[in-house]
Amino acid sequence: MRADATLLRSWLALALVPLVLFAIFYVVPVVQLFWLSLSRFDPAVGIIPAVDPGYFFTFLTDSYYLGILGRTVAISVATTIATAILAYPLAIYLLISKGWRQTGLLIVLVLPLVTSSIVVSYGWLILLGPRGLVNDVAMNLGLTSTPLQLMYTDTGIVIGLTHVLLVFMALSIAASMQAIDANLWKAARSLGATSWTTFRKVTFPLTLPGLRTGCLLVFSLSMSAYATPVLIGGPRRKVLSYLIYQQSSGLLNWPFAAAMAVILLASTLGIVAAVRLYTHTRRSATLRRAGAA
Amino acid sequence: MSERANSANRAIERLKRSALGAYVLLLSGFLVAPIVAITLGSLTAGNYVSFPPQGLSLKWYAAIFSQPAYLQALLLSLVIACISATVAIMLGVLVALALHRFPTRLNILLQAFVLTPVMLPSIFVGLAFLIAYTRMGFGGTAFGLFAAHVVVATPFAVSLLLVGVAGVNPVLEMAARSLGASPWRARRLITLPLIAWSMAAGWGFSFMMSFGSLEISLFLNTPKAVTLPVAIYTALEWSPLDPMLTAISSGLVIVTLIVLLLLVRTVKIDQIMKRSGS
Amino acid sequence: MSYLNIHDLKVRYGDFHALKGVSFSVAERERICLLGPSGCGKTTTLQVVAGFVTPESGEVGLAGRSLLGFAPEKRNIGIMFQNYALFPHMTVFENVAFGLRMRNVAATEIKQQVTAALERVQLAHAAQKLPAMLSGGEQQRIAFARAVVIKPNLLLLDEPFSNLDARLRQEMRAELLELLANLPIATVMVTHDQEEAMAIADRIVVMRSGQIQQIGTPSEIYDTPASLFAARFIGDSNTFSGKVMSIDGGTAEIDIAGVGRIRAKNHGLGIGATAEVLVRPQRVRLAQDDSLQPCQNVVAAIMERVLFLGHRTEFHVRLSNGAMFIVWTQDSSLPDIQAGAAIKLVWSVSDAFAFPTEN
Repeated sequence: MRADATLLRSWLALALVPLVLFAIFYVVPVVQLFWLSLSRFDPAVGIIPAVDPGYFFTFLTDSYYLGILGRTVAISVATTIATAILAYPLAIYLLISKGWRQTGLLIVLVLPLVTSSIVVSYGWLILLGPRGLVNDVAMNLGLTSTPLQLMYTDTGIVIGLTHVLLVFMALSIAASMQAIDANLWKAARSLGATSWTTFRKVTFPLTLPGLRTGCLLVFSLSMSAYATPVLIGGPRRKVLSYLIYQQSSGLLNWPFAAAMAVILLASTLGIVAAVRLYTHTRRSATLRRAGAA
Repeated sequence: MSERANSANRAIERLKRSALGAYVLLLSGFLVAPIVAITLGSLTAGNYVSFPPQGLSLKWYAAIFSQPAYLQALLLSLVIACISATVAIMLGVLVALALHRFPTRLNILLQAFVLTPVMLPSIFVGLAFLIAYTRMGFGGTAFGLFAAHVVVATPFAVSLLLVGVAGVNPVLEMAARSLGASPWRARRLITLPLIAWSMAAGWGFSFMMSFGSLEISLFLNTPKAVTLPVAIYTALEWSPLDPMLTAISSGLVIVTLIVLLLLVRTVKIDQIMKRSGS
Repeated sequence: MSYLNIHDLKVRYGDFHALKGVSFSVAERERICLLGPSGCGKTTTLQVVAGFVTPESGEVGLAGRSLLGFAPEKRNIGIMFQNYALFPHMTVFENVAFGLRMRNVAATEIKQQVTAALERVQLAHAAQKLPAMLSGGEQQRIAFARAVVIKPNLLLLDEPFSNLDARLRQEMRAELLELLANLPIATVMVTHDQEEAMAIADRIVVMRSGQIQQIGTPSEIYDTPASLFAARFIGDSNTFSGKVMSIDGGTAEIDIAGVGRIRAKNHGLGIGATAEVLVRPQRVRLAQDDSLQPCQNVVAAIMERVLFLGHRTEFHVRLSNGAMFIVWTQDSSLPDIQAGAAIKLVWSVSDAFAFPTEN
């Protein structure tokens, strides 16, 4: 018992300050927000405390709002697929390269993430705008006669999100690749498989957990992204985060904004949980079949 | 295997390797494209941003110094980033040590409190901060901004510090104590120097996240306390092709790059690669 | 008079009882080894003595004074850790000097003592190197120097060789014995390797599940184990199960199904009980004839294979109940026995131990 007590005391000596600070500055605000999503708002009076899920119904029964949610999901899915495809070779390169090449790739991957989203989006504006570099080059090369509309489109948003989130996918895949026993590859080659077949039948299946982690991560981050979709998509191509910002800062309808924020969180978690459940049941089914055989 | 088949195989392997290298190069270009575009745009001698730039000149960088509003915003961003990063790693060391060295179930609480801010949508967190901090009385102040930045930066600091702490054998502290060092001295003389690299990495990363933060700062800004990203954001709505904006943006990138490169020099890449799956 | 006195130590982590009442003592220049499988509580005992774990109840006394009120840094105990725990960011000199630094010894005095300590382990030339640049043996010597330069009252060794391969273990063990030979202080070592314990300890404390099974010199435990666990843990053994048929004084007669009757030294068995009988491979003789002496056991077997291992020869024989039995001998003058040949195994009753069966 005394051994336990000293353990607790030592732990508390470390954890007490962070716990208290985060309780005040993080947990309380978050809990308040959940609570607030059940209140009502009147422009004349302000916030009316209540326990009323009305704003949830408002959102979920309006096709306009649902459309925005749908678009947010679609964009997130597209980004996830794009990053998954593009990141694989990057992950391989990360693992086989050494020295400045490896470091260089890491720097380049991390740069979009740590550079302020405003700067990156501004860069996309310059590149993708109607008089931007991409269009300039495309028109000069005769690929297209009218300027391509890339800015302020969903495609542009996907490009922007892929740009920022590629690093997460690459690192997730790389991590699971690194965990693979180096000898497996040699065993496959010694048994006669070419390097492509080895990748297809040995390496790739074993990196699926990393791919899954990466997909769930990129999906969640895309769903909740604000700066990139708003700056590249503009006010015409709204995503859910933008709607929340509008309601809270423009219209000052905090309860509604809170309800939408909760819906955003719930949708993200819901889809993630559904995917996890699906892959889990598939895996259990495979294991059961293997066990029965 | 015949000689010809062998050299054919080697040639194919070489081709595959250079194909991979070319792909990586191409993608790297994609990754740095917007930033390069900004920098090129800022070097124009003309009066608006265009491609190709109309001559090269540094005049727009010089012009920044005549804009006190931007300089103030830059200063505010730097100060908040420095202080947030420092507080973030101080908290981060405590949390990383608690999580790694004490396998108690209470750690679930600690993880829920300290690691989840980045798991929630930034808009959700920003809104929560706005509402709660306003009610607590420091809504539109630099303090509110700073508190929010610390909350959002600490999870990153903790992740990096966990890698550092995991690399230190806890027995080393016990050895120091058996030789006569008090717990505090043992930690200071033994553990801290050994995790110093991850503290530097955590500080650098937290600095960059805070310095470039837009979402949270948008919610918590007032006309008085504006950070640089927000200043650029508001200016962008009025005059998107003003080269001065690109110059300031480049300035932001330069600060970020400096910190990133310094960070890379101190960090142990291989240890991070091993743990990046978490 | 005992120098280190451990009395009825109990340690509990929540519902798990790590130590259930452990008592033993160590004399002033004695070397004790706590031996047992992982989870037996040996490391916990060491941690209590060192001060890193607080016991629920019990006493730890050093030279008559209780250690329990003192923090680890105040106990003046030298510890050699598994993997040596040398501070990787400090030079060899700084490592060895650390304890003296904590005691606020003057810099010139530190330099003198550390240099002397390093010379004693023949590593004075490595003073400015980092631990990573040293070999395993050199690291061990530095860890030793660091632990003893502070003139500790007690030396604790925590599984010093557990991560090494067989050859290196032997070399390190020999080196450690050298180092300890010139050090007249009480030493407590923890290990799960019985050979190590036998080589280094004056007395061995066999532990299991938080309790002490037996305390004795290596030969006492080897020749007269007090329990099946102790007998199995130390040295090698052949075992059979059987039923106790009769008891005559300290000897039990046990019927082994398919093999016959065996007599062995009785350890707490009653008639009709199920017993485990233990015989050491090197106490068994091969014989071709049937002559039975009064205090001997004879059992029939068929030779399966002979393994020549250099320092000894192993005979793997099969008993009439199908079980395998192993015999060792260093006698190379034995006639060649072919596989399939019928032979007799002979050993004295006093070399067989009968214990109650354990779960």
